[in-house]
Amino acid sequence: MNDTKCFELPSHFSRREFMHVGFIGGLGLTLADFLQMKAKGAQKFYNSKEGTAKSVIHIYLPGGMAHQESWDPKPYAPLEYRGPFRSIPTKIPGVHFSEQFKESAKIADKITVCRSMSHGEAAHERGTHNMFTGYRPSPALSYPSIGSVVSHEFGSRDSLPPYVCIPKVPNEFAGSGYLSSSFGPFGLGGDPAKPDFQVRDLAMPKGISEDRFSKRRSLLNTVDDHFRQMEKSDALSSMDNFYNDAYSLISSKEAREAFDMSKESDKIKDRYGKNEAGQRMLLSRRLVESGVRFVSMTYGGWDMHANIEKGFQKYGPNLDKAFATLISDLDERGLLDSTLVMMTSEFGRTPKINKTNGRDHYPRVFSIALAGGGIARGQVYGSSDAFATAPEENPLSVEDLATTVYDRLGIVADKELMAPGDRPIEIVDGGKVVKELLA
Amino acid sequence: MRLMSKGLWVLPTIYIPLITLFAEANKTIPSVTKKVNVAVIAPDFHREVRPILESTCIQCHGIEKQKGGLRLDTLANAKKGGDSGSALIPGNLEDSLLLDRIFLPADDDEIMPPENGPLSPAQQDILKRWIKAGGHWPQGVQLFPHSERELALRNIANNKKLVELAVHPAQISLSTKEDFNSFVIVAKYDDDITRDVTRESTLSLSNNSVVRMENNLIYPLKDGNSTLTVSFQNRKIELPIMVQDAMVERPVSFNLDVMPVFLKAGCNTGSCHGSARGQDRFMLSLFGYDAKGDHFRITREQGTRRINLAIPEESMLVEKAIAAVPHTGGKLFEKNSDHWNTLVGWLKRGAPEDPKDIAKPTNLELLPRSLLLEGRGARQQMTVVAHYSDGSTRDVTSLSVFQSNNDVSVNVDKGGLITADKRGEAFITARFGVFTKGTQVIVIPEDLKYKKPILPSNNYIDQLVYDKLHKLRIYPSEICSDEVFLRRVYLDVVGAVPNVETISTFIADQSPDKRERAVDELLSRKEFTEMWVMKFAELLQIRTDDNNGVSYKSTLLYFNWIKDRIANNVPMDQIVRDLLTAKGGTFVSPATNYYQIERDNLKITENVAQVFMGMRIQCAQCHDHPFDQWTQDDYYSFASFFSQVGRKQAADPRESVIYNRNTGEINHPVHKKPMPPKFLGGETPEIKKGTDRRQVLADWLASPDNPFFARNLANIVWSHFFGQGIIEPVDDVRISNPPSNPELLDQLASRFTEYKYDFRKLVRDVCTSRIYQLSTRTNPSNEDDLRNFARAQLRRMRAEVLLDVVSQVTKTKNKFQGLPLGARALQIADGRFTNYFLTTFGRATRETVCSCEVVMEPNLSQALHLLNGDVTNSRITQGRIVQAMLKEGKDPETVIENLYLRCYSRKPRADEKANLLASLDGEESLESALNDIFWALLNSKEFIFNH
Repeated sequence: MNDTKCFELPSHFSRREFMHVGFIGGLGLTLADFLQMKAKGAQKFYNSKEGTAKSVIHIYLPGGMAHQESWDPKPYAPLEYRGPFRSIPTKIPGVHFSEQFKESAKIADKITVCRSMSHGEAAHERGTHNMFTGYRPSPALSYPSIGSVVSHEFGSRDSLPPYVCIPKVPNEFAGSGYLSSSFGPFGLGGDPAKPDFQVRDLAMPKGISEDRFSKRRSLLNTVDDHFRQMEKSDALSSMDNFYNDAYSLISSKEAREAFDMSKESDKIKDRYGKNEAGQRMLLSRRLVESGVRFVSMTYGGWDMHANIEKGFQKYGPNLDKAFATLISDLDERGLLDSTLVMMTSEFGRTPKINKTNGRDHYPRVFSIALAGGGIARGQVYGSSDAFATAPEENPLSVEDLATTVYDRLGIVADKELMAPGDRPIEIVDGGKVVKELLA
Repeated sequence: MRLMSKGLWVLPTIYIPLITLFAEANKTIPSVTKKVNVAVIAPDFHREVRPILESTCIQCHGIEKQKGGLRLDTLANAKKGGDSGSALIPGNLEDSLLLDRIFLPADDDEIMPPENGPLSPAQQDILKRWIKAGGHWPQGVQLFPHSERELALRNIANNKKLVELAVHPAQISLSTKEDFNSFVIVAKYDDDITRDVTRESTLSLSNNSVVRMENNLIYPLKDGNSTLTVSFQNRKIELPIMVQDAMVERPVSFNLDVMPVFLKAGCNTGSCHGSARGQDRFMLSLFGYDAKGDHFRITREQGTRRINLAIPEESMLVEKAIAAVPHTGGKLFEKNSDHWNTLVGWLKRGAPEDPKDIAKPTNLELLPRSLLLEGRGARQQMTVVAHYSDGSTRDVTSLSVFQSNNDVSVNVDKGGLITADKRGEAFITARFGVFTKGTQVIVIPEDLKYKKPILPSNNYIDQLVYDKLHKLRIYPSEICSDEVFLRRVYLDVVGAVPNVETISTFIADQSPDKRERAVDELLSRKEFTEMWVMKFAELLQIRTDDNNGVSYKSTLLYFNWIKDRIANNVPMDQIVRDLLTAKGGTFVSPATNYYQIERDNLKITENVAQVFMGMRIQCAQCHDHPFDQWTQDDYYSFASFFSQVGRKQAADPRESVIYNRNTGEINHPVHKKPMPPKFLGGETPEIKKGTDRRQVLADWLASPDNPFFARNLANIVWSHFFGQGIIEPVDDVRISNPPSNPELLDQLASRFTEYKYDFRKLVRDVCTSRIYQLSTRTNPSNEDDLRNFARAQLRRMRAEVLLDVVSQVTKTKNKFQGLPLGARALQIADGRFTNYFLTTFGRATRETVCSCEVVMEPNLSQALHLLNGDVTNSRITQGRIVQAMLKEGKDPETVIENLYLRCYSRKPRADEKANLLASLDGEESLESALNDIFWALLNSKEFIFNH
């Protein structure tokens, strides 16, 4: 992708400093270097190089998972705050999770739980925007999702699409924002939990030989040629890019098999759990193992305004089992250190149980889990106060989280990408790498 | 290497403007240096003297700084002089200190200006001649510091023809001692450029005893009237000023003064104390929607912790704001600032609540409207006037929160001063209380090579689009070819491509009105109806839903109900009235499904606003809308129209009955009382008991009284034909998401109203306009523009149309559940029905009313499906198009021509034909080789995109 040779700038240089004339001599740059930088349109530019995390699995829990019923139980709070569940000890001495997360408790020594995630957006779509893009929603600009930025910075690997969504593109913020739609995700269009699951159209149609396929390709080039020369639009070039991605996917058996769940044994399917959570995570593992850079999957419906006890019992245990299996499985395969797993939600839920035995939206403090890819093992980062109403220690902002994830991937989040109107926009605006999260 | 060469070009361009600037400066200065003592030619004050004083002296000797006690910004001040004596004595070269200082040796400590001095000989000479000739200083002129850049821009403007001079506001009325009002003066030139000339105009007051003027602010002195006369160049205008109660003191009020401080200082934003649970245990209502609650929280919630009436300055509320004590939000304003004085002043009065009848803001004006600024650095001061329920007005510029939606082009500072930057367009908003008002600001560079083109127009649409393009200095594209037009209008109006015979007839037709006739013919087809039935089915969420008891039978009846109406050209207002007031069984009276598909009355309220007015009011359910004008009160008063909708089981268990319960209320969550029904953005109607509230609503909603109804439908129609609305997205109308061309949208809406909501007529206007018929080919001026319709945009066919067109060109039949073989995807009644193709290409599921349900972005699955899926591969073989033609004895060339006409509505170009014929060489099976060409055409972008 961005293979244009360009030197890296130390991260503390702002655009203004970058422009300062005295700076040429000061850094010992030649005029040619300076001009090359100028040619980049005074954008803050950094080369992206694969970092410790070669891939990311983003497990997203739409609706807003309660932190109290999962990672951050408050066993000593009064009942109306504590909620319906007890807490249990974990592999990390002194740290408790909700009893709903009993399998995750056993692998707590492999993950980092952040109990101080915090932002200001209490509406689903706005919170979702935060967690998928690292930005607050703006009325003027649509930001790219983290997966699309990864796709933009690194492109595809091993003939596989760089950014895949299971089972489908979950929401409008998972897309490419102001970047070309070429960097948009590949939604599978099917649920791996279904027995007849398969990703369609990966193989050439019956009766079409490879020779004939390549002849068709060249014919397509011929008939497309005129139009391509005359017309320019993002939709067109994106379509072209997707056709190229499709060609490489179709021509690689290994790449196609990454989507083939029948290659996994029944035993491992059982271990993950034969349900949506388990099979989606299993497929996520298959995909990153084969070369997909960013997998985004969703599970469940967590908007539990009423009867949170029943709601949580419906989704919690499957999620717990699948997540714990995913972490252990990745670790056993030696993939955990190069695969960053993050489990997030748009927000947490209100400290106090409401009249309908549920909890409402609460972005001010909530919990997420991170693991692998250069994230520390076995710690709790940050904390909420006694009733889980506000961060008590080390509040973690959306910007800092995104910046840290990008850092692990080898992307400097201060880098500016070009939005329409020659408008350079930082990948993340003003975040910092949270050193304490790192291994 | 390409980057390098681009880089090499960058440096020179930096210097060119500077060089030209100097060259121009020299040009304007007459070279009379040597002739000092001959006859004195008095220099022109505005053209020659003023730029020197403003760029070199006023910075230190003006309103901002008075070094050496000297001000040179008015004649009186200059005469008065500073610590060392008079700076200007007209006609006296010896004693005018101004001259003394500028002629000192360069190394003298006293030389003026101290930096970048001395002045050039030419500049020195101008000042010398000026004083000698009597130091003419036009009456009422005050000077302000200006940068070289600003002076250069002024110079450019002075060479243009002034066509209009306006002062904002148009009149000023002051009441009470504390009142004041600012004004701004805007010049408009013959190229539509606007400039703030407040500081360049000559001002005089007819009655100095009634008001006094300082800068651009008018303060009351005593009751009476005065007139401000403004002259600029050859124009003069008057600003009437009225003063009453000039002696009456207005005590600091919580609602009128303190609450605005919370907004302006940012205390009550969503990320601070305005958050639903406050910040650091102190909560204020978001943007101040609940003044009463805020008063309670400040004065009594935690006893007297937050205020100290004995020593008001030491109240926590005050000390936090100035960061005298630690404050998470930091320092918001200074001690002794206006905001500080307001808070302390209110506390000194004992922190009272306002009387019940305190005036409420009823409207807000942001002035001036619609600006076209030329050149980076061009500035415009805004002024904001609030109107109150007691009829008074107030300058709230300093209390308003300003925002620019595009700070790359336009910056706005806290005080409402706009500065132009890069070429582009921005929308500037000012928020005060619950009101937000905005204005469009366009920035163009000063050195554009542009000549207003003379363009043909077919109707009003063309002219209104041209007007906007002119402001942006953009030329529209050429008109498209007949082939392109025919394909485009077929796809857009009936969702099909023209067949081979139609194309040849149309191309051969020489009559000038053939495009219009083609539009008329298409509008009369049933497929046109089907297209819009599908679009309405999306807005009305027509889909089966087992949870809501919407059976397939209901869905079908409902779908056919809307279809009958559109087919019979029932006016849109009638259709909407019938929908909103529907009662009876969901089978017998299918429109009632509107209330069955969505059974939550609050959700219905939101959907009605979104679908029929284009507004998303969801946020206001829980608090005042953060980006729009809607308050929680507005939301619940609007919801009250739906609070009496009743639902009960009919005899058939699959059917429900919708009726008017005549009773039932929805309580406002803050005060737990129902709100009287009030139109969104309109009045509170009187409703007699027993009247169906929905009837009252429908009569207003679908009528010219509701300004949003016609606009919204017009915008939806527009977006269908251009791929985007004039407001985009179409269902997110709000002040901070303005139309790209408001005049166009207003005109479409008013025509639509005149047409008695017959939307075929509106579609006809759109399709017969030249703007709709522009080519997709760009020119250098419009290639980056996406929002102003300077050219046609490439649009991928939507899922249903693409599938229908594939079956049309391959001569194959679709089979959808519940529909006869060969039905079109457009005809599918149920949003829940889908197939892989339709889902992959983004068909709406109709789960919500959101326009975002229809997805138009390309993705990998689409590419894979067209390459490998049955939609291309099996249909080509099933349809046997190629086979049939070969059987008829057609040669390969004719077959290729036919396939091109089928898919692209045009014949192949010579090179295309030659290449394709060459590809047939050595092929074993001619049929399968030609089928491969067909396959390639179906996969090509010229096919998939409407262009």
